Amino acid sequence: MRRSALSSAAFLLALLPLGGACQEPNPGPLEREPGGWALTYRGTLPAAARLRINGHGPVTLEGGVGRTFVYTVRLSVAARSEAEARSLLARAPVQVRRGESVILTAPGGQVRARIQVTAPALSLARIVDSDGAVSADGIQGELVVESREGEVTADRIGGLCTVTTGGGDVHIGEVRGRLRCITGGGRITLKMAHSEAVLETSGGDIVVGEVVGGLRAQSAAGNVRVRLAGGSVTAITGGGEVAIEKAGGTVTVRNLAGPVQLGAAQGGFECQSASGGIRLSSVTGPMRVSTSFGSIVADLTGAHLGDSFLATTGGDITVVIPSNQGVTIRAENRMADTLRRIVSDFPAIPVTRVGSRVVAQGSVNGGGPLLRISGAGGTIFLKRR
Amino acid sequence: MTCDAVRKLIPLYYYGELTPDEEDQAEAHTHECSACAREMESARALAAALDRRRMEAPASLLADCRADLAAAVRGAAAEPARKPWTLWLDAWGATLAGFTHWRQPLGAAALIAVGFFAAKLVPAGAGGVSTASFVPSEGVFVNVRSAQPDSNGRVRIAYDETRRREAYGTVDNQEIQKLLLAAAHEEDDPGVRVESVALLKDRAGSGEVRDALMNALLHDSNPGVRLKALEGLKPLAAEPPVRGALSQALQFDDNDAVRMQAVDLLTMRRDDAIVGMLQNLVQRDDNGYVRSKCEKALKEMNASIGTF
Repeated sequence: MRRSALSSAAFLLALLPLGGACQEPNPGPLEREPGGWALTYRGTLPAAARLRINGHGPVTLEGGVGRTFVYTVRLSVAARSEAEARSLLARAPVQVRRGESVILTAPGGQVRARIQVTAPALSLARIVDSDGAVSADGIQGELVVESREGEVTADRIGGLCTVTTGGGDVHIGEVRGRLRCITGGGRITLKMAHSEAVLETSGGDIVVGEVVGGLRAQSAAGNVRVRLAGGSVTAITGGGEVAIEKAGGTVTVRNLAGPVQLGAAQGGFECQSASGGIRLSSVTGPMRVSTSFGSIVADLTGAHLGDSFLATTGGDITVVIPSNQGVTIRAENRMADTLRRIVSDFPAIPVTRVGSRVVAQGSVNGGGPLLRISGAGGTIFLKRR
Repeated sequence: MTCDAVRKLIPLYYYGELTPDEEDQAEAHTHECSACAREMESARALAAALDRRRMEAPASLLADCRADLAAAVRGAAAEPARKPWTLWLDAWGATLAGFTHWRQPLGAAALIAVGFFAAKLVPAGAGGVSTASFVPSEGVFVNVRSAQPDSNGRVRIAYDETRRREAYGTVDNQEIQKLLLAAAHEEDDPGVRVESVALLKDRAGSGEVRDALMNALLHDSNPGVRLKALEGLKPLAAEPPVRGALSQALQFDDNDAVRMQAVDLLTMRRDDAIVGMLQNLVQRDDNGYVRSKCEKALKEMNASIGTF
């Protein structure tokens, strides 16, 4: 009986390393490679729902593959001799810890590690990397990537996706949960997000294919292009082109320099541009559009306006009004050198001079929401479609 | 206002030279008087026809004008022999002498035409004329304010343009490119600079465009413009002047993305001349990507990471 109890205890102790202790897997033979030496660790681990990778070099993770973890860690070191390489690598082992989570840690310092992992279905994958590109694909649950610098690629993410990199491009394929990407500088591309997305870069273009929910895209400098967003869109850039093809909610744009183009917005359009032309069409809801330098072209075809205003202090304003759009116009141009500062195709909107302004007001197609138009130079064109 | 008074005002009305009150009166009259409305329309048609007309300037025109002006500057003390075209002008003057009531409007139209053709006929760049000339998409009218000869035999013409001009063509068109280069320096309007530099960036093979892109990279206040300029300079990153500009941008630009792209371009090829700069940046740049890139480049060059 006593022997049996001791045997059981010994058996449990033997299991401990697999149940939570740190393991140092055995490496393969030392290999010569250009510029130094390399050692490769390969191994498999039983399934777990969570994975954390602490990397110091490129990391590639593919989830939803098989029932076990399969990993390869190749350590590279620059050394003048084999002995020196062995010495350096001996002090920098790969560590694997398995408990509720699998934790794979590559050494840092002078050693550069290239990690490749295939994993079963994961509820959480967290990759922390000091240096190098990170790629994650096929994560059923949440993905968190924190990289000090380097390009990040993520695709087929089933849950929340959070990507932070100190600098480098970010490429996101398909994400089912909410998405948050921040890069210290670089381009962000997103193909498809099934929920909300927040994309921020300290400089670089942001290119979005489709976001089912709301979108916030902010770049210190660079273009922001959005093909389709189901919810509201906020696009901010310090300089570059902003182009939004279609949005299901309110579109808010702030641009310090560069043109703004909006194809359609279902929840109104608010745009402040310090410099640059604005072209918009098919807006449902109120429009509040202003630019300091640049022209505004507003096509009201397909629009269902709320009370709105369009204003520029340096450029033309052109409003195209279709025959089925009832709207009440109140336009004024503070530049009154000639009555032709407002050109109206509509007899119901006569142009007159009032004090030091040229003014045109009236109702078109039976009237409707009030559209105020303000210019301080250039010409205001009220055109019939 | 009588028809006679309105007809005198029509050319001035058309060129925006009336006071607001006169303009209102003229408009009110032409709305009611079909004869004056027709007069207004014919003045518009005349100006449009003048705009459409293309003339080849004789090669001697500029030289003749200069000689004539030089003579005028000398005070016409010794009047030169009269040339055939001056006699022709005299003949026209005699012919028009009978049309006294047309004198004012015709004079105004002539002044405008002189200004317009001065801009239109003299080749850009020739004789120091810096105005680009284009066939306008719609009426373009200029009012000549002064025409002053200088001691070098050149003439300085000051004129106001009363309508916006529009140029249309490919970016490869020299005239279009000149306008874009001018727009790239448009100090007050960064939006125009962003668009202009974006259009020019694929034409960096031209020395003038390359210089404009380098200037934008180093001096433009807007980071969006600087990033576009960097894009354009990518294919030229091996050229020494461009590398100089990139080094400046890497060290002093306050935008992370600009510095990141600059360091990428500079470290694409081994260049021992930038070792000191990279060592410095490893220590002090705020951006991890930039520091890391500098560190890697130094390792590849077998240079020490730190400075001593």
